Amino acid sequence: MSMNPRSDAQSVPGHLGPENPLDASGREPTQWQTLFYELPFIGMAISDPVNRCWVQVNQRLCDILGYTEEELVGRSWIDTTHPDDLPANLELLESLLGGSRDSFRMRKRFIRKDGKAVHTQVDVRAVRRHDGSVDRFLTTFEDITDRIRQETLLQEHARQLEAAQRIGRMGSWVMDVASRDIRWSAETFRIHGFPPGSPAPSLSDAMGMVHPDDRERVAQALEDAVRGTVCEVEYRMIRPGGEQRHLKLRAEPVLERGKPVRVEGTVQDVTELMQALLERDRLTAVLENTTDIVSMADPQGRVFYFNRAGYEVLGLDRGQPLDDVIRHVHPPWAARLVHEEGIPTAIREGRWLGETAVIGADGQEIPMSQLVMSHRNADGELEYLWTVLRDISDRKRIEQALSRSEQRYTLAARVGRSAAWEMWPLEGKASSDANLASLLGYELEDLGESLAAWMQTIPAEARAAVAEAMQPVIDGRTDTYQVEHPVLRKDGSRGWVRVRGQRVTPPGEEPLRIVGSSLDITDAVHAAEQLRQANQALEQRVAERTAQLLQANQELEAFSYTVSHDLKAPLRGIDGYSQLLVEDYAKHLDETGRQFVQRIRDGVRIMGDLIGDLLEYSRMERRDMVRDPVAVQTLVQQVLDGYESDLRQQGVCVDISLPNVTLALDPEGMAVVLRNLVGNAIKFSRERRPPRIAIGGELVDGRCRLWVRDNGIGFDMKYHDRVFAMFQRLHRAEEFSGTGVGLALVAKAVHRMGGRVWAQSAPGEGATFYLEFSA
Amino acid sequence: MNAAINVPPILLVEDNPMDLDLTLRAFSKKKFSNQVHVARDGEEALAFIHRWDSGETVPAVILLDINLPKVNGLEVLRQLKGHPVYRRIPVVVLTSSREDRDLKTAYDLGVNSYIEKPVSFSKFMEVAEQIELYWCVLNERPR
Repeated sequence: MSMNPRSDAQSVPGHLGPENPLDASGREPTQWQTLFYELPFIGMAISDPVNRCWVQVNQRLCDILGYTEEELVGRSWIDTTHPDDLPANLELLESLLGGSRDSFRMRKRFIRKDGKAVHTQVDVRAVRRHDGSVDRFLTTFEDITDRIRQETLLQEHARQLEAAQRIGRMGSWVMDVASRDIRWSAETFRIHGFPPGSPAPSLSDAMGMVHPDDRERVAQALEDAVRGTVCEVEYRMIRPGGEQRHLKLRAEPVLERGKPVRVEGTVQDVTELMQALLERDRLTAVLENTTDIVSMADPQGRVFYFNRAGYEVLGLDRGQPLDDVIRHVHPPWAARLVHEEGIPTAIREGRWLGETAVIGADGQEIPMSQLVMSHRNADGELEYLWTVLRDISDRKRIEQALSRSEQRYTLAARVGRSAAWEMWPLEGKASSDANLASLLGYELEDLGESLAAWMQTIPAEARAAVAEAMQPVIDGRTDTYQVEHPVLRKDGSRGWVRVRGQRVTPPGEEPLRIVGSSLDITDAVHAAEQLRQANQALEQRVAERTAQLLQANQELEAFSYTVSHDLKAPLRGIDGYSQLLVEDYAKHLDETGRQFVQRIRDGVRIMGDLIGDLLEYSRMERRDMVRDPVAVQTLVQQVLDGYESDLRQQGVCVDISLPNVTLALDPEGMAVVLRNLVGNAIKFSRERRPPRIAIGGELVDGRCRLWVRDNGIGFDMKYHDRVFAMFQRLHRAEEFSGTGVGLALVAKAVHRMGGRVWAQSAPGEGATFYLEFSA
Repeated sequence: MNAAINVPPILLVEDNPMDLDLTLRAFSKKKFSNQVHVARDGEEALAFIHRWDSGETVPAVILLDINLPKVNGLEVLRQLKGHPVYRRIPVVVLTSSREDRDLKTAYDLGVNSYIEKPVSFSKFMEVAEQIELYWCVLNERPR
């Protein structure tokens, strides 16, 4: 809008003329001055310093304030000034009035006619009179609302950038190529551990903070950027406090006319990110290294991840599409279980745990414990499912082995007629395996778990004994008990069991629990009973036999009496009367008669010897043997003395070589032995010239061996055993007289004294008879 | 018959008639001066106690067989040796038995001598002679 200031001035008389604001000196404004005044860019006003009223305003000012010129002129500018800006404005005006300055510039707001605030920048200049007092204020107004808005916007952007940099841990920087001066953003300062707005560091200061090991790489990256290459480098930086951070630096050259003039860049603190990556790597490593199979699937069940164990166990190729293989992971029964129960349950309740199986690389089914879990996002939407599969082959094997072992044990126990049980006597409770019931002919349910019911299977008269056997364990005096007792089977028959129980609760702890076994010993008890009866019968028979033997012995003794009295008596008669016949009636007999009588007397003599020997043998069998000290040398000498005349008559050479020992023997028995052996030696060597008899002895290994050796006719060793038998003779009576009892008597006596007797001989080479006794 | 009166008798206890006869013949052959009384079993032997009580001469020696009818020789011995007076009469067991048990019992009961009868008659005569010499001549009788 174009206004004629003149006409305006004229329309407001008193405001122009000598008080023309452009001519404080009183001169008329020039043409260009007036034009300038009417420029539409700048608001202008002349105001009175005393009443603070506008004297003259241009159109631009009117536009800025939304008033007409008429409304403004004569009005105090204070009315339209924003109250908040007024004090500062007045203060500045005072400084003009006081003469301390001639002009000032300030930003102030006016309240437009429409009530809106308008930002302006005002330049006020004082027009002074000659005396220095202020005549008029000349003021220009610039509407800076847009500038303010843009400045605010700019500030907001800067603030946002800073916030973005701070939040993103990303700072920015600039480096001048020529001077290598650098500038840092607030966040860049922060990243480096300085408060924002600190003095800008030099490049060498900045490089000094780079970890020495990384410094060369960073310098190289910057140089590359200076030469025009976009660079990125990660490095460690040490903050002034010593804290180490991981930074990621990006540098971009800025070209002008094709040549780099500066390098702009960002720097990002990736320490936390690095740590997070590290964490993720660790978690991934766990997932990848666990022997459990881990997989993830989308809500439709499409698997998109298998860990290493999954690939290995299932024998999958890394390149194989997972969708393709997933159908073959489970055997059909397990796949059905997972899809019909596992996944729906996991989706519904969050997790499902079950036992499934997978088909391993070798095509074999592997039993698995499978966990399926669903993962939902913050909105509760199902994002994915994941599953963990653990190989439970070992557990299954152990379970199977355990089950087999238990079956085997139960079976073995049943075969062995034994049963395992446990009881809580103070609670009156008990339980057992099925074997106990079958042992008693009951069903397991018949017995129940009541100790009282169990006790009912024990006959009433035996219960007290069983309770008494258990009592020390219940009292804690012992840990184990054993008792054998009868049992009543369901069918009424009676059996026997051997019960062994052991306390398994430590003393003083509750509840008392006893574990034990019952063994069916019915057969053993019956067998023992039969054995006892058999023993009784046997003892009875032994007693009878002993009695019979005793009787036989007595009869034998009676027989010996008979022999000694009733047989010897008539023999004595025959001998006596034949003797009388010879003595008193010989003259009445002829030669033949006398020979007959002599034959009778020879027979009587032989028979007398025989009876005598038999009586001797019988006595040796039955008499009580004693153990008295027998001096061997002395006894041998006594025996030889008894044969003194025989030895002398036959000219026998006797050689004695005996140890000086005393043996504990029956003296009479030993005398009989030596008498017979020496007698035989004399008898069977009488043809020799000279007959020789050697009696010797030696101690061997705690035993005393004696021998009687002759150089007589000897005998064939095939008859060795016969020579010691009763009535056994190797020679005709007319060659060597004898009854055939002597050596049998020797053998009997030696055996009864606990010794041994044997002979060594050959026909024509003499004989040696050995005796051996413990010394 | 003064000699006969002065010489005390011998009591022979013997059941076997042949042994008895031979014994008497042996005595006779050896010309024993002693009168010989004979008891044919244990009862008869014990009956002599009454005869001695009534004044009959007590024998110088009693020759006692063991295996006797009615009362066994050892029982006769027991009663004799248990008698307050007649236990002093020497008793010689003259028997076929050399059984340890008999031997021991006889000595336990207090027999004065134990002699086995030899089968040989000539030896028996020697034995008879020795007995007579020892018990009737050498041995001093109790008074």
